Amino acid sequence: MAKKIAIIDYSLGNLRSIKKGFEKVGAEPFITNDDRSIKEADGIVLPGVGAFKSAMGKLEGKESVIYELIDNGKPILGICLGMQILVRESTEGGLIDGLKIIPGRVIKFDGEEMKDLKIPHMGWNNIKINVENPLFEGMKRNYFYFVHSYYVQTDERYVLAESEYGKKFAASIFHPEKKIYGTQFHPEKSGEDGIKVLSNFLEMC
Amino acid sequence: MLTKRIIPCLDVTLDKEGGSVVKGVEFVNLREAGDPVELAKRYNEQRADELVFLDIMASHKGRKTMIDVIERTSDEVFIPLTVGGGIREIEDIDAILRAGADKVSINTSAIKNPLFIEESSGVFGSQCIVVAIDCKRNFSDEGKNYIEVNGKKCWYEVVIYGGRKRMGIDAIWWAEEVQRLGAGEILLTSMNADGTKNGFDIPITRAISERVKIPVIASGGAGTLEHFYEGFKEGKADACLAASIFHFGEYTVGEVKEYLRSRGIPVRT
Repeated sequence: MAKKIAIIDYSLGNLRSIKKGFEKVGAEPFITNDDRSIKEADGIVLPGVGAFKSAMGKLEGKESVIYELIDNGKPILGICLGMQILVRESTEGGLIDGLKIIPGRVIKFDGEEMKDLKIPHMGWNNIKINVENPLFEGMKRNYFYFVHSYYVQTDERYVLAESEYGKKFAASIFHPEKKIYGTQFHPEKSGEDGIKVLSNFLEMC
Repeated sequence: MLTKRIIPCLDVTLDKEGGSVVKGVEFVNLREAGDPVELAKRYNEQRADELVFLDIMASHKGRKTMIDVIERTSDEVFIPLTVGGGIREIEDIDAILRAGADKVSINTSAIKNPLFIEESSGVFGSQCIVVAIDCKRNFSDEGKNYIEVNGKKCWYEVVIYGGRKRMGIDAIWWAEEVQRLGAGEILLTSMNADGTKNGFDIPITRAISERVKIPVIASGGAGTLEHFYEGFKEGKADACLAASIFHFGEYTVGEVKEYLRSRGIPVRT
């Protein structure tokens, strides 16, 4: 039977591509905001474009469900803003609390080395995989599509893959003891390798 | 390293009952010549970095067809998709993003109501909002920012309706303004270059790219491989957009990228 993937509906924008991506790799994805159907899923996706503060605002009341799923060992994949809200806090629009699932802080691309670089970091960039992990098994070209102005700063033990834009930053984070993953890039918009990441995540569910 | 993007543009006519065609396509072995979805798949296979769909009729009736085209494309093509043409309301953007697009390109409605940029980027995030700027050289002394082109000083004036209507607005000033209002990217077309196949308008592309912090897509005029190189190297563009050079099969996206790579421009191959 196809595994159920709950795509949490807390942001505006393109959720359809994530759904279609998971359908392509044989899952049964659904977009939902309902606690009960979230609990029934085999894996959870936190999508996200937009602002940190409004995303956390819309997730209010959902935290306990997410923590419960983590305690039950359900795999979670945070994409872009969905990865950023996994960490402790963000400096986007004040100091805003995140889900605090992984240590770290979200900060803006800034500094002398960014002087001549465009913000947002938008387009295809390659990544370097730091730790051998099933999420990045079978990558062919290692290019992924990014669009973000903020990035996650965390201890290197949580960095699964890194990329470079003026400075090195976390392209993917994870919890070494749990099945919790985040990608700063959009796997659903990163062609063949991106779809393989979704497929690898599905395998863990 | 962040790579430079190559973006094929599909000018779609949507007024045909139950159908849609891409303007100026002459692929001989395309199963359904002119079907935007088939064409999008082909460009994806050629490793295009993004796709832009432009509704050139921008009619109310065409919107439904565009939604259908985007849905069918995003079912199979997993790269960023931008939709432009006749977008006036927040609801238009919502419907387009829900269909599987990632960005919308707004032009005339941004000029007529600049606060639409602020409002839409506030709702959907700056990364969703591309502002298209069409401009044309003006050799009068009414401009704000002058650039020397072929030994003569001129300013670039914002135009709409394919260049038929001059707006009296300085394009460089407008580029900074759309950035301030929350645009995430600028799609720049110079009417002096568009359709000429003589290359992108380098002076204005460079001037705007150096002035703003957000990415700039150069559009209009690509006729040779060298033109793409110039767009990135001299024009300092972050992406180059082209239509006919790809539609007529003169070059594939892959050939353009191979050439750029051989000349030291970072591309995703």
